[in-house]
Amino acid sequence: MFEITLYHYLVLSLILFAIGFIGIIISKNIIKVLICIEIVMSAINLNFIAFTAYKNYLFLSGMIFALFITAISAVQTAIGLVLIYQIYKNKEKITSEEIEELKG
Amino acid sequence: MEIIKDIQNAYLPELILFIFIILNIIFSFFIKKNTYKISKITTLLAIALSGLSIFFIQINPTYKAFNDVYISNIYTTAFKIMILISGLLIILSSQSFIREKRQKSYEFFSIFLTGILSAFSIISSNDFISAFISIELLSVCCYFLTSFRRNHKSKEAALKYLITGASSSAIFLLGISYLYGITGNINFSDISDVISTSGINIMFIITCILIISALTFKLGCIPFNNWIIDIYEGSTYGVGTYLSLIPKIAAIGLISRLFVFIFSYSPIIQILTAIIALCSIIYSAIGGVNQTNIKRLYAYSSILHSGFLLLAASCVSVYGFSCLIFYIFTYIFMNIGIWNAAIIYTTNYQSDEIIDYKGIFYKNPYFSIAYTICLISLAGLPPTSGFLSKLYLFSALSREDFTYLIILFLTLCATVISLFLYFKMIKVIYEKNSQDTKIIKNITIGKIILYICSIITILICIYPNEFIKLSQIIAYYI
Amino acid sequence: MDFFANNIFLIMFLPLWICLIIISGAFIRLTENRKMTAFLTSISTLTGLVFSIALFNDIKSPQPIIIEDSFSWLNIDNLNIYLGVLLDSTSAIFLVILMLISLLIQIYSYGYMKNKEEFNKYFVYLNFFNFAMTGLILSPNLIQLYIFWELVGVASYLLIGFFHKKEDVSQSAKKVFIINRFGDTALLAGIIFFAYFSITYMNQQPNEFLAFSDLDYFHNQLQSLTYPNVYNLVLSLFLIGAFVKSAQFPFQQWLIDAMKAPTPVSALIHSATMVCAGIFLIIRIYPLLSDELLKIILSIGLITAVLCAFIAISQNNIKKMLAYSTSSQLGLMFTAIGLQSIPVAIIYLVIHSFTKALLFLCAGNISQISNSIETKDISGLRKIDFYLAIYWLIGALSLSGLFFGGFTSKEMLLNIAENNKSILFLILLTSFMSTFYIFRTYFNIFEGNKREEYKIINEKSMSFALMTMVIFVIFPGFLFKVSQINMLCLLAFGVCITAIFSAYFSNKCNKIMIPPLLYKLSQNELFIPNLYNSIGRLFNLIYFAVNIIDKYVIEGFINITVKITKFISNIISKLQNGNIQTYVSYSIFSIGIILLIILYLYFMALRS
Repeated sequence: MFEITLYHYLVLSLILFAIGFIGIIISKNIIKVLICIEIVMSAINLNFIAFTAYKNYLFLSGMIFALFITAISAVQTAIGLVLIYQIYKNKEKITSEEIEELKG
Repeated sequence: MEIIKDIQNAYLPELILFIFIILNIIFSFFIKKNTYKISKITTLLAIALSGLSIFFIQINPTYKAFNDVYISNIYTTAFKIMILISGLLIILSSQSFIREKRQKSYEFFSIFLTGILSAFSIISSNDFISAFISIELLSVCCYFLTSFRRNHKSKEAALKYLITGASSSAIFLLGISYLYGITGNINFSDISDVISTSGINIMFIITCILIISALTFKLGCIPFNNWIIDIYEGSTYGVGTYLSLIPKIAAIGLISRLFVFIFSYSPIIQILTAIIALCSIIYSAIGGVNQTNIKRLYAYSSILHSGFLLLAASCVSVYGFSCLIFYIFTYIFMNIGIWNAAIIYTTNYQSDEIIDYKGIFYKNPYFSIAYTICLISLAGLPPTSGFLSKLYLFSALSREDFTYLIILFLTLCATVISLFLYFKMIKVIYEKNSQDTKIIKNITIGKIILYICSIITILICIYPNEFIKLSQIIAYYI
Repeated sequence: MDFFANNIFLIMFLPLWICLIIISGAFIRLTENRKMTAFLTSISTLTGLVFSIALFNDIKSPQPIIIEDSFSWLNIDNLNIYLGVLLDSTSAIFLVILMLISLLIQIYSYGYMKNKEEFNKYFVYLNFFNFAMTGLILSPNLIQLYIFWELVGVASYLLIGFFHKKEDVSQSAKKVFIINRFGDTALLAGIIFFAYFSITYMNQQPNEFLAFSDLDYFHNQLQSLTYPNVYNLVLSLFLIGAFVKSAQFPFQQWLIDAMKAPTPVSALIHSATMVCAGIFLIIRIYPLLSDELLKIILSIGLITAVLCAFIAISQNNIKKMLAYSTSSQLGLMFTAIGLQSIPVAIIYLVIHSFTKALLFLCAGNISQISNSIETKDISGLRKIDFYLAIYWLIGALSLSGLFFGGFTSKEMLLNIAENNKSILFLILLTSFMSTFYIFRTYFNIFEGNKREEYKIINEKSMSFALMTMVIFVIFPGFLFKVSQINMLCLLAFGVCITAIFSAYFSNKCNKIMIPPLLYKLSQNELFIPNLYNSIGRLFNLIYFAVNIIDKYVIEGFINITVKITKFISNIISKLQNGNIQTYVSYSIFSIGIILLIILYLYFMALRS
C-alpha cells in the first residue's frame, strides 16, 4: 500500500475547493450556493489540519485556525439564510435569476 | 494580570467602543422614546471618548498585546484616528436617513460601531487569525447595513455582497493556509523571520498573490470589484458613504502592513500589485463614462481611488506609505463632501439620476460651488488637495525602478480619462437652459459639513507642509 | 514702518478679497449700488498705494533694504517651493506705479462704464488683475513668478473679451490668449531647464527653489560648469517669454488685437502694467544674462522700436496707433537694458506708463464724444473740449520727449547710447517718428472744423482721473536732473521740432510727405499680417496636407479614442449583468490569469 502523504491531502482539498467554487458559479438555487460555500470552507479546514498534522511545527496554530474558520463559516451561512429568507418572502422562488435587478 | 495590562496599554479605544455597543443594545430594550436622539448621542459619545482614549495608550515603542496578536504603534493609531474622523462625519451627515427608522436606530448605531471596532482590529492585527476574524466581522456588519432599508434592491445587494464576500474569504484562507504550510506560523513577524532565513519559492509568490487578491475585495480593486457597483446602488446614501470609506481604510492599512512584513521579499509581488491597481484605475475610468445613476458614478469613483491607494501601497518605501496616509486623509474629506451633496439633494427630491441635478447652480449657488470644489478635488486639478495628493503619489512612483515608470505613464493616461467622470457631473450642474431646476431647502447640518469639507480641501492645498511632514513621520514607524 | 513691512501680503490679498466679496455679494444683492463696487475697489487700491508709498520711502533710504518673507509651501524631498513676498527697490517702484495707475483707472472706469451693463463683472476682473499683477511683482522666486504670470494672462483675457457679445471681440481675446500662451510655454520650458541645471550641477541644494536672491550664486556656479551655448539657449527661452509678453518684434500682433478691449482696460493693461511684466522679468534675471544675450535684447528692442514707430505713422485708428507706439517705446526700454543700464530703463518705464495711460484715457474721452476712433471721422475737438486738447498736447510732448517727463527719460537714454553712432541714429529716428505720429493725430483730431453732433462730456470721475494723470506726467520731469545739456540734447530737440512742423504741414496739405510707397508699407502694417496669411497660402499644398492631417488624423485620432472609450465602456456596463455568479466567475478568472502569468514567468526563468 502506498503511504498517504501530505500531498494527497493537499490535492484532495484543492479538488474540494474547485468543486465548491464551480458549484458557486453554476448553481441556480441560492441555497446550493450557500452549501457550496460551506464545501469550500471545509476544504480550507482540511488544508490547515493536514499541514498541522504532517509537519512538526512548533505551534498548533493551524488547528486553532480551523476551529475559528468553522465557527465563522457557520455565522456566514446563518446570515446568508436570513437574507435568502427575506428575499423569498416576496418572491416565490429563490434562484440566481431572481436577484438580477441591480445591473448595468 | 497580563490582560488588564494589555488592555490598558493598547486596547482602550476598542474597549470603549465595545462598552458603548453593549450600552446601545441595552438601551434598545428599555428606552422606547426618543430612540433616535439617544442612540445618536451614545454613538457620538463613543467616538469622542474612543478618540480621547487614544492619547492614553502606549504608542511610541510598538506595543504588542495579547500575546503578539495585537499591535499598537503610531501607524495604526493614525489609521484609527482617520477612521474615527470619517465615522463622526458620516453620522453627522446621514441623519435624515436614519431618522426614518425610529425603532431600528439602535440597531443601526450598534452595527455602525461594531464596524468601526472591527476596522480597528483589522488595522492593529499582527496575526492572520485576528485579521481574518476582524475582516469577517466587518463584512457581517456591512451585510446588515446594506440591507437596512427593507426594499428588494437592498436585500438583493446584501445577498450579492455575502456571496462575493464568502468567495473572497475562501481565497484569502487558501492563501493563508499555504503560507502556514510554508512557514509554520501565522504571526506576521514570525512569518517574516522564517522567510528571511529560508528563501522564497514559487509557492510563496502564488500564496501572496492569493492573499492580495482576496484583500482587494474590501478595497474594491480589480479581481473583486464587481460587487461595489451594485451594492452602492442598492444601499442608502449614508451606508454608501460608510462603505466607501471604512472598509477601504481598514483594508489598505492591513495591506500596507502586510507589504512591510511579508510581501517585500519579492519584487514580482510589488509589480503585480501595481499592475492590479493600474487595471482597476483603467477599468473604473473607462467604465464610469456611461453611467446615468449617481450612486453608480460614485461607485466607479470609489474603485478609481482604491486603485490609487493600492498603487501607493505597492511602492514599499517611506515615500509610498507617507503618500498613502496623505492620500487617505485628503480623500476622506472629498468623499464625504460629494456623498453629502448627494444626500442633501436626495432628501429633497428622492431621485438617483444624474440628469435631475441639472442646473442647480442657478438656484443654489453656494451648494454647487462647494460640490464642484469636491468634484474637482477628486479629479485632481490644481487649487485643491486632490492635486497635491496625486502629485505626491506620482513623485513617489517615479522613485522606483523602471517598470514603475511605464506604470506611471499609464496611470497618467488613465487619470486623464477619469477626468471625464467628474466633469460629466460638473457639466450637468452648470447646464443653463433647464426650466425645472430644483431649489434645495434648508438642511443645515448637511450643508455645513459640505462647506467644511470643501474649505478643508482648499486649505490643505494652501498649507500642505505640516500634513506632508506628519505623514512622513507616521509612515516611518510602520 | 514695521507695520507696513510685516503686512506686505495685505497688498496682494486685499484685491482678491474684494473680488470675492463682489462675486458673492451678487447673490445677496449687496452691490446693486454701482458706487459701492467702485468704492470698495478703490479702497483696496488706495490701501495698496499707501502701503507701497510707505515701503518705497523705506527702501529708498541710503542703505538698500530688502524685505523678504516667504513660507515653504511644498516640501517633497528635492522640490522645495516657497511662496511669499520679496520687496526690493525694483519691485517697490513697480508697485507704486501699478497702484497709482490702477487707482486712477478705476476712478475713470466708474465714469466710463457707468451706463454699460455688467458693471460689477468689470470691477471683479479689475480686482483680479490687481491681485495677479501684485503677486507677480512681489514674487521671491521664479515659480511664483510663473504662477502669477499665467494669472495675469488670464486676467487680461477676461478683460479683453469683456464685450464678449460682439463676435470679433471674443475671437481677438482668444487669439491674444493663445499667442501669450506661446510665450508662457517658452518661459516654462526655460524655468524647467534652468531648474534642471541648478539641481544637477550645484554643489549644495539651495534652500529656496530658484529664488531671486540666489541668482548671483547660480550665475557664478553655472558659468564654470555647463557649456555656455546651452546655457545661453536656455536663457533665451526666458527672453522669448519676455518678448511675447511685451509685444516685441516677431510677436507684436497680439497687442493690436488687444485693442478691442474697453479703453480703460487698454490704458491699464496694455500701456502701463501688463506689458511691463516682460521688462520686469528681464530685470529680475539680469545677473544671469551674458553679453551675447544683452546684444540680442538690444537688437530686438531697436528693431521693434523703429518698425512699430514706422507702422504707427500712417494708422488712422487712434488705439491702433497708440498700441504700436507702446510696442515701440517698450523697444526703447529693452534697448536701455541692452546697453546695461537698468536705472534708465526703469525711469523710462515709469514716465512712459503715465504718459501712455494719459493718452489712452484721452482716447477714451475722444471715443465717447465722437463715437468713433478713426481720425478721419473726427475733427475740431479743440473747440468743443479745450481741456482735452491741452491734456493730449501734454501727453504728446511727453511722449515725444520735448518737455516734462519724457524729456528727462529721453536724455538719459541718449546719454547712455552716446558712444554708438548707429544706435544713436536709430533712437533719434524713432523719436522723430514718434513725434510725427502723435502730433499728426493731434492736428487731425483737434484742429479743423467743428462737427455739430459733438457734445462735451461732463463726467466728474473721468475729468478727475485725467487731471491727476496730467499732474503725474508733468511732475517727474522736475524730479530728475539732467546731467548736462550737450550736443546730443540739442540734436534731439531739433529733430522733434522738425517732426512737429512736418506733422503740421502734412495736416494742412492733407497728405503725408513721405514717398507713397513707404506710406503704403506703413499703412498696411508692413504687410506683416498679410505675410503671415500669404505664407500659408503660398505653400498651398503643405497647407492642404496639414489641413487634412488635422482633420482626419488628429481629429480622427481624438474621435477614435472617444469612440473606443465609449465602446469599451458599453462592454463594461454589459459585463455588470447583475448575476452574482457571473461576478464570482470574473474574479476567479482574473485570479487565474494572474497565476498563469506568474507560472509562465517562473518557467521562463527556470529555462534560462
